[in-house]
Amino acid sequence: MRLTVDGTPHEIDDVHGGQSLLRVLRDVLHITSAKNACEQGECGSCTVAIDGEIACACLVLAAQADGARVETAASLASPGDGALHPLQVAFMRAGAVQCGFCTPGLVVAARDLLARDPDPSEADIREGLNGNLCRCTGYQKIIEAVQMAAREMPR
Amino acid sequence: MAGGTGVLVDLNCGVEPVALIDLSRVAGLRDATRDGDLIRLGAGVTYTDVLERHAGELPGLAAAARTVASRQVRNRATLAGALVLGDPSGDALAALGAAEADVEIHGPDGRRTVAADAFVTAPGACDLRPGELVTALLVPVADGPVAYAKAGARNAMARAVCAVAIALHPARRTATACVVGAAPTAIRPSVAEALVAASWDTLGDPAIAERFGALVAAAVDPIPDARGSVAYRRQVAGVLARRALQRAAAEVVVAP
Repeated sequence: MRLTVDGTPHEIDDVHGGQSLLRVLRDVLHITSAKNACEQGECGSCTVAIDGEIACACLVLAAQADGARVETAASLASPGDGALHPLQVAFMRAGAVQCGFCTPGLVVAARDLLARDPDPSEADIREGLNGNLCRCTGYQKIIEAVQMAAREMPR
Repeated sequence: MAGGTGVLVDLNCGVEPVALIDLSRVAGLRDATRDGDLIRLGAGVTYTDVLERHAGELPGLAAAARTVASRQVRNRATLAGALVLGDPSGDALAALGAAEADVEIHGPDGRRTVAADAFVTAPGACDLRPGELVTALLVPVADGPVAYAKAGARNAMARAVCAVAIALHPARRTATACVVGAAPTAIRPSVAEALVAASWDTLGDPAIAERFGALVAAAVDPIPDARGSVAYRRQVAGVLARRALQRAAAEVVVAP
């Protein structure tokens, strides 16, 4: 099967029938910017965008993503000079990263949220990111980071 | 499989399928068409599709869809898939039941339809025979106020312990309601529905909503599980039904 992950095309031979996209990303391609925690779609750690629509990579059959454009957290920084995305800067400035395990999924989900709603209320952010768990329970600073990024980002 | 959000949970737990057939790229399966007062949602229509494209015509279904899982899951999970998985506490099941929607099925013997509230026949089971496929959901456009009241372990990402969907039909002066999570199947509380029809001119009376809740609580037949006991579910069903009727009735415009 073929995947384009964060701009890089991949041809993959060894995919078995029941394998998830997340397993192919991590175990076959060794791309670890989508995290594996629950494998049940509960935690959002493996959130990626598939052809522009976010999904839990653990709940996507790899074969269903054949030919797709997959974007992980590694797609946020500028591919040219590595300049960080406003969300990444905001997460650091707001102290929204504790252990960091949920962060890759959260920034992908937050980018999707802000693309659909550039000026979300706090309630919109809480509902919009409800698929991403932070087991450090650092939600307040995560919300502040998204609000900060929304202010910084060009409309 | 369609979106895969149900099947993948099993695969990730080590279930080895005999075969997997992916329907997600079947042309037309994700289409939605309107024919008069009926919307035909193809079996590939996702919760996000309902929220973004059909919330105006199907507000009850959209209200239920909004409470399902997360954006990540709603982008792929299909309503038809949720029905086929046979969850008797499904949000879409409740809203489709209250809307009096039908499930369209094609198989070796041709086409047939089943009322949505009767489609899930037991936990994990549905009215689908060997060789059959759900091809669409046939959902009447809302003709009055709707409400969806749900109780779960928390406000997000929770399956319903119990949920009540209600649709009011001012032209007919009737209500249709559906309760999920309070029996091994969805329940249409017909005695409670009849109370609304008989009390149409006094729907704003809190005593009517109270009575409606009591009748719904009497109609359910909960099974106990990790999410709730029989007594808790019966209590919650009554409270949610009362709230759902109050919310919907508050929107009924009385003709001058």
